[in-house]
Amino acid sequence: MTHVTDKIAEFVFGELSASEMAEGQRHLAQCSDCRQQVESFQGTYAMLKASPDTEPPRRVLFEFEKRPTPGWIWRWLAPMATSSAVAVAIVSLSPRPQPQIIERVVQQQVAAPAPAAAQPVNYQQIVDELRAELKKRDVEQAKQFDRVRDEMMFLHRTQQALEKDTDLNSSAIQKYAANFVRN
Amino acid sequence: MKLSGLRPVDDRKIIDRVLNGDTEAFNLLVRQWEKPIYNFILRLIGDRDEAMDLCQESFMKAYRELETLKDRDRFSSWLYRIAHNACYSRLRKDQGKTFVELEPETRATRSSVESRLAVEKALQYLPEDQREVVVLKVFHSLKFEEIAAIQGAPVSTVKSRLYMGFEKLRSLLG
Repeated sequence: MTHVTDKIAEFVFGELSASEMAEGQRHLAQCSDCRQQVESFQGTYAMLKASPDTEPPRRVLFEFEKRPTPGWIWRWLAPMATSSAVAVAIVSLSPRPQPQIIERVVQQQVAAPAPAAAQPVNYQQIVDELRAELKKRDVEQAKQFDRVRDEMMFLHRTQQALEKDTDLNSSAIQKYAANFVRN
Repeated sequence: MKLSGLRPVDDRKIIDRVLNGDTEAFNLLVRQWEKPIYNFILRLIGDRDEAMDLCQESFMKAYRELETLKDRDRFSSWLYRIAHNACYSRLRKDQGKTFVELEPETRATRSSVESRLAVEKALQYLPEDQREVVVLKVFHSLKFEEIAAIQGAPVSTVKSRLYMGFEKLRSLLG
């Protein structure tokens, strides 16, 4: 190897053989151009490495159930998934080739900005919140049902009125027709 | 089992357990790899919520296709490849979107938070293939051959991408 710049990345990342690395070090002692380029490369590398990894906002956890979870759980839990901090994928233990994947909210785990003791998870609070949400949806569903029922009754009454008018009109037309024929 | 510092032999043992019916053991792999995979995707995509979705999607796909893994000692490379495919599908969908210009003041002396943000922004300036090589090499210490396998490109191309990426980053980060 003549100049280190030919294999600068391998040199900086230590992916050359021991003899090539030694030869590179000897060359750097004599070649200012190569030395400058290596230092520049190392500087960029150091700046990048100074950027730390981020903790994921939530944990991925697979939970395996013996029975498939009914689809209705997915329907009312899915809208809450956007506000949750943890998503749990539940895979039913049906034969591996075709698993069912359902997401379920389990708990919220917020990464603390400063080191702190681990916060215990209040599962009871989460269950209470889910129950309250279910109850709220039941109430909304009942109101919706009442609205639909009222609309149907209105339409039924309208239909009856129309049928009555139709009958009256038919009778009137028949009488007119009869008079016309007589005259 | 202590999860930090799992070696390929540990990955292989866990995979053997999962494929022999101990499906819960898959969570050991997830716990070991979710942070590196999440950070790989985040640096590629640049959006935390999308990165989390894609991370989850990658693990789900890995679980579903675990039986197809030929070399159980190379689980990590295989997983990065799955994450790579997920990211590129999303990036192709997002083509045409603009991103925020790097502000000149980010070149000044920075706190560690500002440095992190400056690096994140600078990475978004690179074309995806260069960005991916830089991320996998600098932050995940993958070998050039491994990166070439993930990208489906020759090693020489991977090295070129790294050099070009570093050139651009040097000009952006000062």
